[in-house]
Amino acid sequence: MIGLAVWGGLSVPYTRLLASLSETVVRLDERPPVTTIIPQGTLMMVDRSDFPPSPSSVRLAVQSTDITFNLILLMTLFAASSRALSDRNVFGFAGAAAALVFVHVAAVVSFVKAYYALSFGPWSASHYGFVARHFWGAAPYFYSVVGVYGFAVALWWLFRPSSQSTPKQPVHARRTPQSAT
Amino acid sequence: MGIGTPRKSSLLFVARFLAALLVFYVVAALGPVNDHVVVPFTELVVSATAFLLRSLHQPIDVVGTVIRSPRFALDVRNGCNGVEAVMVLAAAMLAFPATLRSRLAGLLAGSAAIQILNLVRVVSLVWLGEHHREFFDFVHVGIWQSIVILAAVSMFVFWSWKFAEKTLATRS
Repeated sequence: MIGLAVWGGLSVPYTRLLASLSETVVRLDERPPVTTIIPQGTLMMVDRSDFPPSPSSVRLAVQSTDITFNLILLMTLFAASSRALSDRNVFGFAGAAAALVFVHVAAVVSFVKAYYALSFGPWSASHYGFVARHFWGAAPYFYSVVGVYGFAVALWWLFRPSSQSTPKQPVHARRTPQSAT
Repeated sequence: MGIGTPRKSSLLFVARFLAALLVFYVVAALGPVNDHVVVPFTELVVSATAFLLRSLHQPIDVVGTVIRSPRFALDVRNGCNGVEAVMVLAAAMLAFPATLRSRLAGLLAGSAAIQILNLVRVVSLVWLGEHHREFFDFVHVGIWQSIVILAAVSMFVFWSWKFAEKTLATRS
């Protein structure tokens, strides 16, 4: 419930941060930079300054909460530790949460790129090749269906205190015969 | 995975886990697999949900993957059929060192438990949509999705501690 409250409380300011970071990343391969991602509550409105102005109904709106709700999962996984408030667990959570920001930015970028690669007919075909169209077309769906959970679980596994991080018995079981000789 | 530093083992596990997840996703997203396996399975979930709701005296209609009550309709899609949680569980069990038998047993038991939990989820969401629509989105995204995946992760952790390691140790 704490995770839910933190996620809900931080959604709007975090959407602003996410929009800003994602806009910077999308613009990295644009000459000149034309993409704007404008936060509106928990929505991120995507637009291009080199396209004719369009009514908001046909612009891409990315719902940030659909991307970021895995923060609840991450918090719960760290909170489930028997030493939830230990320094190692807290620092581990901080590291995982920081890494999750990069995952969220990558997810927003994939939604924007998929929009560009698939939604503008001839313009999309001329700017995105066969492989790029399929890659960007699949990336947001992968994230939405399983990636959103998978990345949270992976980061928890990587950043949780190392004493819990790997199977122990198989190691001992394999070493025992060697140490006995 | 038992060889090398814990950090290296963790990285290896995560790499295998994400790779397995990607493979499962690609397979499930293939047109024939989606049309002949995923969609019929989702319809089965919807039918089971409708059966449970009718047994609770809720008037329910089913059309394909859509459940309709008098004031609410829910289209059960990928992400709501429990398949994604089973994928997470399967990927984790595949990435973790264990015998094939242990993995199969864990996957069968875990998948069944996930599907039972997912049935509770869909039934509760239809009920919530019908009676308390204002809470639906919050509970759908904020609570139930996390609970189902947490259940999958918990099952994996329990399996890895109680069965996978023991089985490997015994075999060694």
